Amino acid sequence: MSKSAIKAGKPAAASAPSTAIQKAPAVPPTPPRPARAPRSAVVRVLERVADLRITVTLFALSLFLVFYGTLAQVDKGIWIVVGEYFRSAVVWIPLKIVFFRAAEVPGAIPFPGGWLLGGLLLVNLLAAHIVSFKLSWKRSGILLIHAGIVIMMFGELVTGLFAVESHMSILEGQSSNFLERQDRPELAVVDASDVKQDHVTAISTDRLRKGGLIQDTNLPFDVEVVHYWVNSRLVDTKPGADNLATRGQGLNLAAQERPEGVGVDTEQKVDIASMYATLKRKGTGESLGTYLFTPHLAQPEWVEVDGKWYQVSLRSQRNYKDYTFHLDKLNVEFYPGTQKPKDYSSFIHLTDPAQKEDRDVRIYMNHPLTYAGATFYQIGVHQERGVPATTLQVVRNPGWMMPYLSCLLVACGMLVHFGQNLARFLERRAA
Amino acid sequence: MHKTAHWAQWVIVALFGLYLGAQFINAAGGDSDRDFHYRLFASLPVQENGRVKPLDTVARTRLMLINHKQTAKVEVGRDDWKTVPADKWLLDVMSLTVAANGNPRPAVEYKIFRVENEEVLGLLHLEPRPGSWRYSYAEIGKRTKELTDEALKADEVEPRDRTLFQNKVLELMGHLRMFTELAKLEAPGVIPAEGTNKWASLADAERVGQAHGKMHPLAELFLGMLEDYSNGNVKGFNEGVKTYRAVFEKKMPDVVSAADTEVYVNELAPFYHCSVLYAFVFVLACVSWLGWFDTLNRAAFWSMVLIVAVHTWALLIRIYLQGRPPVTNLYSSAIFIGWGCAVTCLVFEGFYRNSIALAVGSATGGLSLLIAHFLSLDSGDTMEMMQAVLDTNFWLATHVTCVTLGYTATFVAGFMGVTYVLAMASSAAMGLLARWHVGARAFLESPESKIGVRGFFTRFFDTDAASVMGRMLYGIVCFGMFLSFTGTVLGGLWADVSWGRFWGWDPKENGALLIVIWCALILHARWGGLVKQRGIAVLAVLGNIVTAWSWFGTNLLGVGLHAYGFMSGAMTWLIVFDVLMLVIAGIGLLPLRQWAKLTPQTQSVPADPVMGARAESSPAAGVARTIG
Repeated sequence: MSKSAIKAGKPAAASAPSTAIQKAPAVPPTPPRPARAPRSAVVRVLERVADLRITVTLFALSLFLVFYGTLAQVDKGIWIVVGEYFRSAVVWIPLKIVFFRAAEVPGAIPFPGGWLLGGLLLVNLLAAHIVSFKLSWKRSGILLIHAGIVIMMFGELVTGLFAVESHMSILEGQSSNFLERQDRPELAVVDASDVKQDHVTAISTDRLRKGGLIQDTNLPFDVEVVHYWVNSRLVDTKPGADNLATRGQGLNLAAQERPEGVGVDTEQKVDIASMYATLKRKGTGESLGTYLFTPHLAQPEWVEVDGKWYQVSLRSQRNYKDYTFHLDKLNVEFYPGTQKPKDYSSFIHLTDPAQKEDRDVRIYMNHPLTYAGATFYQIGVHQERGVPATTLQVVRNPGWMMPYLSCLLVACGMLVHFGQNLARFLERRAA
Repeated sequence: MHKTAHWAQWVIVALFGLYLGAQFINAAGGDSDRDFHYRLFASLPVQENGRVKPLDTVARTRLMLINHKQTAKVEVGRDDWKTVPADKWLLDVMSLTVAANGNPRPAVEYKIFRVENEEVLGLLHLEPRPGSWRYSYAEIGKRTKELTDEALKADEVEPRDRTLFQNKVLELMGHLRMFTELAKLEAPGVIPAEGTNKWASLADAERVGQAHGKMHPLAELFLGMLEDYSNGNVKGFNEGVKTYRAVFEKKMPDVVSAADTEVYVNELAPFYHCSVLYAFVFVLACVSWLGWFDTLNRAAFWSMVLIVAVHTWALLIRIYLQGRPPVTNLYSSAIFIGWGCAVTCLVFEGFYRNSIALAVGSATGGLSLLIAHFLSLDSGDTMEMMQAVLDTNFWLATHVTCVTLGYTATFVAGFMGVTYVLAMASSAAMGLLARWHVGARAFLESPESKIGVRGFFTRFFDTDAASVMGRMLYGIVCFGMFLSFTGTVLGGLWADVSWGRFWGWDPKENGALLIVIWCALILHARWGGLVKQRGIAVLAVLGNIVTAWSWFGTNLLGVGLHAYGFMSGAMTWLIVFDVLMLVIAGIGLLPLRQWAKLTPQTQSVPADPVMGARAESSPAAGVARTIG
């Protein structure tokens, strides 16, 4: 009996929510409705594309992608994972991750990345709506939800492509007029001989990480990368121990490699790179010495080539602005008797001659400042040579509005849709 | 149908009520005038870890962290142990340094320090003590130097590279520090200072007193109490406590009354009693399928109402004491999820009286309170302060509550799915038994048998019950989808406001996203006709894995290889839970046709599809008919 009776119970249950997008009535899934006129080839293709089986498959794949993208963060930094897994068409997932990190297995398998899955879901969704587009009260909820989801997905795409996150670090009582990309250190060679202007030549992070000999006409010397570490710490050199550096501050201080910060670290800290590089005279290749460069060091190295002095340092990529932030006061409050921060506030004086801006602002937790197309968030405080300093996260994201819009649409859509379902359910009970 | 039904059901409910009432009265018990006023002393407000709380909480949380119990044990004779409540233990410890020479110093004799690691035991020259594994301060204190040396070495190693031994050494050092802090009166903060929100500890007050030649009157009073205590001066001590308390009552009456409430709730342990009673309701609900359905179902329902009322009350007390929305940390999320499951299932049971929702609600409610209990062993004070970025009641109230309710919905769906599959499987098993064994069939079909051919798990699990569960499942998944989506998006908006990143793909966010995708998958699969009732049940069972991962798994990722404590145990439990869910889902995937073959037809359930369809349209009537 079970079989027939249960079957009999189903159409009622399944037909209730069949207001959802479907290429055909839910029960039975095949064959298609006979009464319809023959459809064009385009419609038939679209119907294939809009198949809910594809939707469900894509959901399942997304599920695994997100899960593996989380597991991968045990070994790798969050932004590396985001680039590889979520903002890509295809990702090669190491087998170790595939097997839930339970076994060390070499090798990797290809898997659709976030952009590919997102794109396919979008095509599937649009096809479904084209095939069965009908403007009715019953379907309005679904329409709103899906419109919101599409906007959200585009928002993530725009963020992935165009959003830039940088930092601004200011010591108390001092000013700053540039943004830094701490995750992208560059080797800056500064020629300060011109009184009016510094001449800066910078070697990018990517080039440094590649290593080897770097030659460029703008550089006063060639640079041979000996070691480049993405994350490092400084220790005092021990007398008698091997030291890679032959000149400069590296004679007293040595860099040690540290593991790159990973996504699951409870304390998210910025990796601080270190590099050992030999500077070589152009043409002859004669060594000018092997130096230690790292943002850990406050002072640049002074290097002389043919009687001209250059300041060389590994520092965060800088982006100079027209406006200036002066940190008047930094307020740090902890819960009494603990190291748990209760409040960080930066009291800032903002000046921008071009805009005739000259005012005080307070930036604190959950209360950012939006200025000149960027938003400044209180992200942390630290000490620099005994002086308290604030770190502001500066985000420029042209797609920042999209999640808000999407959220609004989806919330309305869900209320309408599930509200209708609930009303029907209660009606049926009352009957 | 049964005359006895009414009074019997109320007797059961009354038993539950009596038990709870006894706990409430018991917890209010005061001090005896002949003995030290422990309770009154324990209600004095102090400040620890940024929060003003009664001394009672300090004592209980420290003992909980050190000893994994809220009491201490001391050996009074050979193999004769005495259990000492937290308040007395605290007084013994705090009066350790004050005690005059010659007075007994019981604090160092309490066997509260857990040492299980053989290497650590070797370091301390201690014999393994299987069973309790507890040692006293006097025993460990002989080798503090060796221990400190090892701890200093371990401290230099990066946390994730530490060995088990190093972790255990650091753990023990931490426990010793909690003890010595109290003994040296360096914690908690006892004296509210003017001009700062940090309360001064007695040790601070003594230092200041020595520098200025005059001690703070409150500190003098407090030290006097401790001296009286160690000298056995009951009257002096009790007078001291009263005077001390009177000062606070005058200066900060709100704080005193909040502290009193907290001590009362500590003593009552409402969540513990709720979890025990949820277990009883679960048993009642299961037994109701075997017989006396009306009586037991109603009894279980109203008992559940009673328990949920207490659960709700305790949640509200926490909100009042903390001044925050219900969910602030993992512990409170467990309590809240348990509450949400119980309430949701009560509503369902109100719609469909079949004990299924009762069983699911009491099981999930009880289990999550059990999890909360284990979490409290590791976290100490469960009402800890929040990080600056989390310190906003608006987002806590909206985002966190929404996400947690989303967990609740998917868990209820998951356990509903488990019930569905198990009920189906047991029906099939009974059918199989009846088919193969004539004697068994005769017994199962006999009117005396309370089991019935339809299944041991539930006699009522027929087409009607199945479709009722199918509908409940669908509804709850819709709710889950709505709540987890809204919660996740609100979290994104919070992140956008806080640091300008709507979505950062971090483990916790991804966990929430997984639930959303999972619910979307279930709903679309159903809308597409890819799954029916049973399919949804199986998917909901698998959803338990997704939710458990999102709730717990993501917290375990950051824990290193050599982790210890409950959280490493949690990893094992998570895997056990996942495997269990996979097995149940596997059972659910057995072909329906095979089940149908296994289950013979019986008189009690109509075989024709028309009846089935009619039952579908009025499930309550359908169930009632089957019961009758």
